[in-house]
Amino acid sequence: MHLILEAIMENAIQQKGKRLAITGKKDPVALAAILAARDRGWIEPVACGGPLSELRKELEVYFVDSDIWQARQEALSLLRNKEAEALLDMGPLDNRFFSLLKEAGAQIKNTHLLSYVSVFMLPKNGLMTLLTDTLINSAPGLMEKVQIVENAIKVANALGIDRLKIAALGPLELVNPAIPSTLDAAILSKMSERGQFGDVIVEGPLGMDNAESALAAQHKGIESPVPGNVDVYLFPDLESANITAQFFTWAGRCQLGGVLAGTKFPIIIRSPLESPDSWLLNLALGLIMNGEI
Amino acid sequence: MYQDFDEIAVRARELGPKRAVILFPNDADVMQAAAEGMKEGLITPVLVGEEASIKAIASETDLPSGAMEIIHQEDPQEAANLCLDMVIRGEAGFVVKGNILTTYLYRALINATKILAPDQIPCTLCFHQVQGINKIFVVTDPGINIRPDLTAKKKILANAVQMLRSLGCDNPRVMALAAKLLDGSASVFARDAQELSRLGDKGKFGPCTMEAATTLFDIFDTNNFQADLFPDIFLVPNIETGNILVKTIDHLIGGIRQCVTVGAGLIILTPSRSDGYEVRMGNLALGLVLAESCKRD
Repeated sequence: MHLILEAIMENAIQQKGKRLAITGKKDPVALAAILAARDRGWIEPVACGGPLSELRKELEVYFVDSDIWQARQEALSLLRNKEAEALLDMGPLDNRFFSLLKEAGAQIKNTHLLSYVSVFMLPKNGLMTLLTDTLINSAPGLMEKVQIVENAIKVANALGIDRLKIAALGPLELVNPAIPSTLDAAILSKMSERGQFGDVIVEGPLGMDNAESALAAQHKGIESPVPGNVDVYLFPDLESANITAQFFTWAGRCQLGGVLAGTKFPIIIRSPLESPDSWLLNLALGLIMNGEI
Repeated sequence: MYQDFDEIAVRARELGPKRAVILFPNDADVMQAAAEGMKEGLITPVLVGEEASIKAIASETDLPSGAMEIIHQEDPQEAANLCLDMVIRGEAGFVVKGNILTTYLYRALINATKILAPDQIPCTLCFHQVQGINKIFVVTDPGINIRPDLTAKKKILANAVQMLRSLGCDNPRVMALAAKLLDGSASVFARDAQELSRLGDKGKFGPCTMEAATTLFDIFDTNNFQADLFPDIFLVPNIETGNILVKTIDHLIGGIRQCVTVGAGLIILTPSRSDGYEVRMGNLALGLVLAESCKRD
């Protein structure tokens, strides 16, 4: 079943007042989304840090003497102690923030990779579609791609996508030893064939044209249930993923949402690929991830 | 600058018919496209390949091969070289790929470009028309260069700027794309992009406006899209990005895509088997207009 974005938003209400720690710099658009989520009964927000102290009229504020960096650490200890269930950070999204997440053990396992999954409705068929990794890992090798796939599977499962189909994209559908990304895609495809990802089919390498059309794939002799039914597009590198996502936003006028994946508890952010209007969507997406993402 | 492919088609009809050399048309689809281009008054086809099989296909498809000139050459590399020589000598406007591996044509084009325009290297340009963006924009290079280094990227840009200018876009807006790393460090792609921006400002690629930004989110507020600021040329960092991006725009975002491969002003069309009639005629029209504006003296 494919949940549509509105349904994701409706689902978020079942979270029944999840305790959400808020950190980062003050962002009025994000705050409006937080208040809307509170009014819908999704969350009980707690602002953390001195920069957010002026929100006292609206919200409970903790750690008023802390700057952004200290407040983030303190908010993460709230999460570790189960005094909060999710984190929303209003930025800045930089290496310091992600290093802090790792130091605080916010990832599922110590060595586990964080990755980013963009979520949107494909204009041509209205189906929910995931793109990964559009933000974080710049030149993932096979080891990293295995974890990026595992992270995407968790996100897709939380979104209710059954019998997940993943297209491991490449610049062509043939395995070309001169182009390492085609080797990675082929190995991931073989791993899925051997059941290493569970009830999930990874097919690759696929060019975008034969990922998108079953007919085009058949013309190239590719027999697979994935072409024409892709839930997740796995990109060969950050350049191709991030740049393609930009074109969905600015040439295709799609509203993208995004989920930080590989974390122990929901961590809600907004990447530059998403419009400020996406804060509420990202919040809903984060909240419906059950348990480990 | 032409705003859409209809304008290009109108211009092509004024210019046509022009001689186009078709490499290895011994395939029913290719022969059909040649005949349609001829009927539309766009091209006068010159067929290069193995004469007997060309004649056989022409008779099978009930096409007037008698009306078309045939040059016999069965060696694929010799035939590809011959096609480009004809364009260089002004005997034909452009080359259309038929039933042959693209590699032969690319090799011939790379060699010809080295001699005729050493400051360029051949690249594929994808011209896109997308609803909501009131102009044609170009993505390069999704086809030939796997991971171009800075030197290669300079040559690709020089080539792309010249082609856009020859289509009447006097001062193309150029963006060298690169993803931004979260740690604030610059990837090799970002460093190349910044250097290209600096060189472009100095006029190294001919008249153009280089974006300092390397991402669309640096120039557009998500709520404030301005089509006028949308770049005319996007240079991609590697073949993965280029190939996936052009097919995404074509198949998932929608619109029309036309690809040409060019070096030293020599135009090669590489139509795909699945192209419908409109796309095939649009491709010939673009070839015609580009060839006319790149005409050799």
